[in-house]
Amino acid sequence: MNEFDKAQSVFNNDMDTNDYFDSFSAEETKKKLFEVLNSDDIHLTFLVGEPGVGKTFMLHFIEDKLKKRKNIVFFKDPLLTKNEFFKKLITHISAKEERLDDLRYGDLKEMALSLYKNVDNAVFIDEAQLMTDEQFEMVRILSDTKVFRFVLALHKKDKKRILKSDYFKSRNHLNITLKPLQDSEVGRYIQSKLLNNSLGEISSMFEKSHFDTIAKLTHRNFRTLKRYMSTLFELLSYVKNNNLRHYKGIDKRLLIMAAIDTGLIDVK
Amino acid sequence: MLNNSFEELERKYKKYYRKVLFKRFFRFFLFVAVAGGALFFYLFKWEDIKRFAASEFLKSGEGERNSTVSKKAPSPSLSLSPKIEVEKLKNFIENSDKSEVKVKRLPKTKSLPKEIYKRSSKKLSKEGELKEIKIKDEKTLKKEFVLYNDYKSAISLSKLFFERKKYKKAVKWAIKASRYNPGADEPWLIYAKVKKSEGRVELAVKALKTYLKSHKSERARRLLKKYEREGKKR
Repeated sequence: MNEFDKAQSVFNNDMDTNDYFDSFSAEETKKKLFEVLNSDDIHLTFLVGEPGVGKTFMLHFIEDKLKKRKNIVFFKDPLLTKNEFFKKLITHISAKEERLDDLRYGDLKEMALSLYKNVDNAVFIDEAQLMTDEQFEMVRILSDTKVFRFVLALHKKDKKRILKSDYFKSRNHLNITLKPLQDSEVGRYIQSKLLNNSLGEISSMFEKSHFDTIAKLTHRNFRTLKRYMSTLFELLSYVKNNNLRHYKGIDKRLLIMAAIDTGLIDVK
Repeated sequence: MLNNSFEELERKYKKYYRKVLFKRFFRFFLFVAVAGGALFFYLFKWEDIKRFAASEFLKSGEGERNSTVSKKAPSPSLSLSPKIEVEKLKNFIENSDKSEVKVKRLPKTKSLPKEIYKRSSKKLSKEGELKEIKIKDEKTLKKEFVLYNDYKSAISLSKLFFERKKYKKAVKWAIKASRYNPGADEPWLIYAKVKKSEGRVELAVKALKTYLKSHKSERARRLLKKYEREGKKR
């Protein structure tokens, strides 16, 4: 295993909240979310951003930071029935699982409200753009009770459709937009990842022009960037293992080849 | 794991690179074509358009005249009357400041009215003296230049100013005239004469020599000889 394989594994890692990168937009979003979750005025927040920009990571990061002080319920997706939703809320706070199957929707709702009434809580729902109208209506009703604080993460393209719907148009809610990395942050992100994993030698191989090319190819999107970097290091590892001397260091050809392999450049 | 083998990626990269090169070349070619076309249009076609516009203007004038003639009783004296032509042309000249249509030259079939345009004599004096200008009206000559935009009106203005001893203006119009007819000796002669009048014979000699290096002109040669002789006497 050479150092490029190690670098590849750095970018292949699953979600780890310790990998939080303090980009300008992430810092701003983090600050707003902390504020809204500690205030009593807003009980419904939308975290909006393009796919892969780091919304889920941000929710996990906030959950990680606040879980000792707050009761946070995390729904990875909204593909649940209303009863299942309340059951999860109830079981998160108390161990009454056996008796819940016999209860109807109204009873489950009352039970959840009474359980969470005096509990500092937050309900995070990821991929909220998949929610049905019925689920949106339920979220609206629950947020109106001011017992729950909801944070709904949804795709930017669905933002208009959902926020203009009758459920939320007249409701007091907050929109927080998580933006992609800035051009200058792409290089800083790659270098910080490599340096945090003692791969300073590889980090020093990159030049500004390489970072500019990578930023352009990946559209500064976190998910795409990680996938791209993993592929790039795999190619570099291949070059080293096969002693291909016509590729020197971070070759521009390899940058393009990584983009082709990840599907960022379409060559028919 | 890679989605493609390394060899496959190399092959795709080459294909991609060829595409990029082709795109760059195509853009460059497009730019050159557009720029070349614009330049060509500016240099050649624009003059044609101006000429066409002028001929259309004259045609429309003629058409109007014919139509009035056909409606009323035919009157040969009216249709051939020089007064009508003069009035029409005067109106056109007066409005030409506002109009964007500039006419370089009128068609040969349309003779110009004598009241406005008079040709100078083609006879040359022995010492290369400038032709006498009968029209002394600066305003008329300027209107004429706006109308025809040609060498003749520019050089006439230059001569006029030279006669009036307005040397700066004479040189300015001589330079303008030489743009329309770079080979003509008259602008150079005026320039030389202006410099001589200003007491700078050496500049006059230099200008004539420069002109004679690439052109043949008896008048310029004679004037040069004369100035050289005068220079030696001093």
